Amino acid sequence: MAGKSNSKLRENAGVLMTCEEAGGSAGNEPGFAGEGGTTQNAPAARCERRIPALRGELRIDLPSLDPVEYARSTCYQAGHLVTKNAGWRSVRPVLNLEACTKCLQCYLYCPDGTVYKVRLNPEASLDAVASSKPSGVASPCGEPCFEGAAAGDFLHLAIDYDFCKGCGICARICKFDAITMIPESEAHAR
Amino acid sequence: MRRFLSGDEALAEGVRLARPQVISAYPITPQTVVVERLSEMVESGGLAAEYVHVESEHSALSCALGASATGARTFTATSSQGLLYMAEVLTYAAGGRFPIVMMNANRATALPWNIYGDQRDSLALLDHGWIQAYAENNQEALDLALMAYAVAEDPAVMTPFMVNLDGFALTHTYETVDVPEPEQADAFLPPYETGNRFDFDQPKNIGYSAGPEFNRYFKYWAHNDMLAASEVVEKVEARFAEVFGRSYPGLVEEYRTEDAELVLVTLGSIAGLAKETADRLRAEGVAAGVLRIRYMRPFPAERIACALSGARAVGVLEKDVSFGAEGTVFTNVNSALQQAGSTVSTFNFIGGLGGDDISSQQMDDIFAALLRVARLEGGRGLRRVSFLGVDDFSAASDGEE
Repeated sequence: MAGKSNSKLRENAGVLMTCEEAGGSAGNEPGFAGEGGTTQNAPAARCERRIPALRGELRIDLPSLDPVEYARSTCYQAGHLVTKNAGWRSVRPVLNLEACTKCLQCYLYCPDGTVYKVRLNPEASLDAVASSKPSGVASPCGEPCFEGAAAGDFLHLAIDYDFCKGCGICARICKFDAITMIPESEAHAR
Repeated sequence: MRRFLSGDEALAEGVRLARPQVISAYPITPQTVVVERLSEMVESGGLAAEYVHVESEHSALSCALGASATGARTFTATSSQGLLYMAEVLTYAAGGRFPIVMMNANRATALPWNIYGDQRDSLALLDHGWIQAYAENNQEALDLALMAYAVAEDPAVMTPFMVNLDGFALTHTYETVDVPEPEQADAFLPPYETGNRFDFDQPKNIGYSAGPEFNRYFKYWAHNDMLAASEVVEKVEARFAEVFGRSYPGLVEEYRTEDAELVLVTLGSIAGLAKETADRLRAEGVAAGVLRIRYMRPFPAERIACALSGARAVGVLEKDVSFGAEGTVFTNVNSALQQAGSTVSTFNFIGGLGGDDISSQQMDDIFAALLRVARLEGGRGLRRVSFLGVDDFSAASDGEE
């Protein structure tokens, strides 16, 4: 019975889940899933385009991106973020990479973990980053820096706008004025 | 082993045999004896479970939810206001697909304050995604405790399960109950295993949000997997009969309904009196039957319609009312009949509220009223919804229309 329903729903999914419904530009913002390696005709590809914020570095062998498959519990492989959640943001942080020293204060203070590292080698294991320890090397801000940052194993920081709520903590904590809060209307105008 | 047990005690014995690993509960009359017995079993070493003393019913189910999310078999129990206080967590457990088993002692809801039995507590929460079963007697209470885990934990179901016992009529009434041996229970119910849990080797997100674009899939599956539980219940009961030698009739029990002119639909312990009354009427030449609903969710609409559509008058007796509408069981039964295209006349009898005894005389009056409807080919003198002990539907009022 379940199998029968499943295949029926699968047909529906193919009809319902169009790319237009997928929320337009979400897949085109930097650092988000959906830009490659899949064809737009396959249902799975449509689903994948709708699922935001599988940041490049977290896209690791997900068993299924199809809600027809996974919607039978709310227990799912860690790192899989189902629904973007930033609809009420009125101002957004914009990062000036020229001014950024990679001190990682914004990375640490962001309450939603939306500041992330764009790494030199996207294939590098997450463990390498997770095991980075303060190296004691003085950074421009005078505070201990992270080994990873000192070694430059990531290129720069970026902000995940699918989950950033625009709270401004990152801009407030930044000692180098590298983060500016701008109105969403202005961001769209750009 | 045959023992003389109250419904609460019998249920606790069934839970013991199911070997839950975590029990979290807060005492409330008339459920208290269940958790007293279980805590004694844990204290004496007869049951290897963590017994968590929580500060409220909301915490009791939250604790069971967290424990279930680690892959543990869990149990909790409550009643009335306690169940309503848990209501928020009921949907978390159902939506997260955690197969928690809970006993609910059916009890009136305040105000006015009342500790005695009726079914307004659980029936108010039919839509919260839990399987709901109603025991008729203490043996069934024990057996349901075991079968509840087997159904809830089935990979095709993965839905929490509420076992309902009529407050006092079952919870505090003693009967002879066969208590199976642990070896038998173990043969029937293997340990709980699931991928739906915290796992260091395969880290999981648990309880994530799903917005408008995905939410429907979760609800679709919660609905369909609950429907699938109908077949699983029958499968589990067949296995139960093999192991323990006691058989159960699935989601409903049809009692002499095959050729019945009158059928009374009810649930819980009052079905006993209804069956006795039907037997007596049969002896007097009146084709009476009883349809006992064992499971309100999943709702056995087809079997109910099948059992009732040949009757000429159907009554629905329940210890519940949805104010401003009618009894909730009545609504569900009518929906089943309408879907099947049946036009049999149906009447609702609301009784047993706040522990009010439903007397043998009242049961006679119900069947007598249904018989007049059947013989007169209409509903003269009988309201669609009648309150036992308030509305007069005796023969004397028949000519009023």
